[in-house]
Amino acid sequence: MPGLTRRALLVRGAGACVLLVTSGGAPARATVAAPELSPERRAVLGALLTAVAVDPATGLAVSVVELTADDFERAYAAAPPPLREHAGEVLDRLGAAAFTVLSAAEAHAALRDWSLPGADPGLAAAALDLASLTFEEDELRQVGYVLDPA
Amino acid sequence: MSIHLRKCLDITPNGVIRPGSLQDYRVLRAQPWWPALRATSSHLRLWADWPTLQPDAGVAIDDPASRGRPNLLAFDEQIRLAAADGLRVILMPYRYPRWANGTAAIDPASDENLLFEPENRVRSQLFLDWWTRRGTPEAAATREALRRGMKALEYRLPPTGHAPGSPWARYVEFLLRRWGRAIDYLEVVNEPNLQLWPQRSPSDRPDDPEGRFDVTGSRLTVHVAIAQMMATADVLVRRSGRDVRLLGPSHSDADSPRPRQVTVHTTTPYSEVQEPFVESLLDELERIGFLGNARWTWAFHDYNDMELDQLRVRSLRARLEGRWRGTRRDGGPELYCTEGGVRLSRIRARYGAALPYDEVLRRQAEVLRAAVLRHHTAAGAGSGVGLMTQYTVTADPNYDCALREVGGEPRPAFDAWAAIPEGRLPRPVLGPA
Repeated sequence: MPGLTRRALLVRGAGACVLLVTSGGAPARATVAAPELSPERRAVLGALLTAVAVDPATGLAVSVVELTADDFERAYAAAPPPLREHAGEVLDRLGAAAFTVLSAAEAHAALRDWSLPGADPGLAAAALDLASLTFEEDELRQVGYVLDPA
Repeated sequence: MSIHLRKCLDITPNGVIRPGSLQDYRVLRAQPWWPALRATSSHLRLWADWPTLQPDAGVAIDDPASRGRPNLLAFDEQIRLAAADGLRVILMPYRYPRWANGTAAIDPASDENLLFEPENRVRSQLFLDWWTRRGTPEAAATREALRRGMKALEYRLPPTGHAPGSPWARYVEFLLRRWGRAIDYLEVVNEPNLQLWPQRSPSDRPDDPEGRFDVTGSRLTVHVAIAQMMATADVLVRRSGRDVRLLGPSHSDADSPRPRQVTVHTTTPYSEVQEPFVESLLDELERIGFLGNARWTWAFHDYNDMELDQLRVRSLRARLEGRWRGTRRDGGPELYCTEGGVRLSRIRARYGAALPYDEVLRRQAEVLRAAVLRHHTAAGAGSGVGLMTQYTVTADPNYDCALREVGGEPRPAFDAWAAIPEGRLPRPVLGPA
């Protein structure tokens, strides 16, 4: 598709993914609740956390992305099935949108693009919520990661 | 009488911060199960997150060039729809932009952030774990645990205060101007005794890495800011000419043993406190000559009573009696519970950590149902309580007391909440579950 940037492709990809999910065409959910995070999902998670880490407002350092992903993976295995299903679904949607092929800066920009009206704010919100999971109770109920607005 | 209890749903700040989520009212009301929830809940609590709506100091919130504009327009629509749907809207100014509270120059990823008043923001153990392991292989993990455990910079009380004319007051004026016709209540603040910092003045060992976390030598200070907020909000609502009621101070009922970061609201049969938030606030309100009026209802949060079948609310009412001139109910001060719920973690703590998940959910529903019904009477837990709020419809996994799963799938708690009507209860509802 000449004339389209990788980011534009990604935004389109996200839209297509939403269509797939809403029309029942998403990958079968039979394995969604498996306690192990598949290598594909693990890669998407890493890309998501890296995209969050390059944002100056989040406070997450790129140097601890792997550490954070490891924590996530351990907690995911112990999480109740509905949370695992949801997390898996969000990661699959990001994966279907080719999230892992982007550079960190492009993935970050894509998250911001999706959050705009008419793009895919639901996916952007779900992705940031996922990145903000602590897997332990946060008495302070802080708001999680918020990207610096464009 | 509390047989006229009203029910409220809290959909968190997410609807403003991350429009498009299930906490966005536009998305929520489109769910097939929403009508069942709406049928027995008449109030909606919305959070006007100031850093999101006004990210830049020099740009007005409603300036078309504002970087917060998409969020503002999304919030406009949510408030408009909620009002059009007949919901009574509680609007709450939330957090401070970092340009307004003196933290704009701090990089949240930097050590400077970790060293900026940690005693007011995090448990001493997390700080000392990092401090003593700097330069070791464990440093990265302890540093990250510290960063994640800290109160965010946006919860810092602004040095400019909350008097009329302050940036905070101008923000509240904006809220009233823009949404004053659509909302029913302005709730002044959220959990000031838990979320905001600092709670106290420095300890008498401020230069010692461990001593700075001490309480010794310090005194409670947060209540002074909250009293000013309440008095200012009263002035602003009066000046606005809007028919808006006021709620506050919406204190947390947490009693975690971390006095530099959490101030227990008042002494109850379950916890004793030397410098309670409520009494200190009442003293300060008295000192500045503001004791509430008919526009005001005292607001509080009520997780413990709901989860553990406790009666902290009774202690709270006793403290307010004769000292607070807000609305009254059942022969004493009226209270609005603007946050509550039954956490899954508390169900496990109460009934067994090894409970299967389905059983946890079943018991959550059971405890929630019993808790709401207890508040439907004009005695005990329900005496004086005019509003109960369920914190989150869909789950926030970091603080999970929701009616539905994070992805929207049902839990038994949904039916438990939705089945209890407002107002006078039909007899079958009062029977066994």
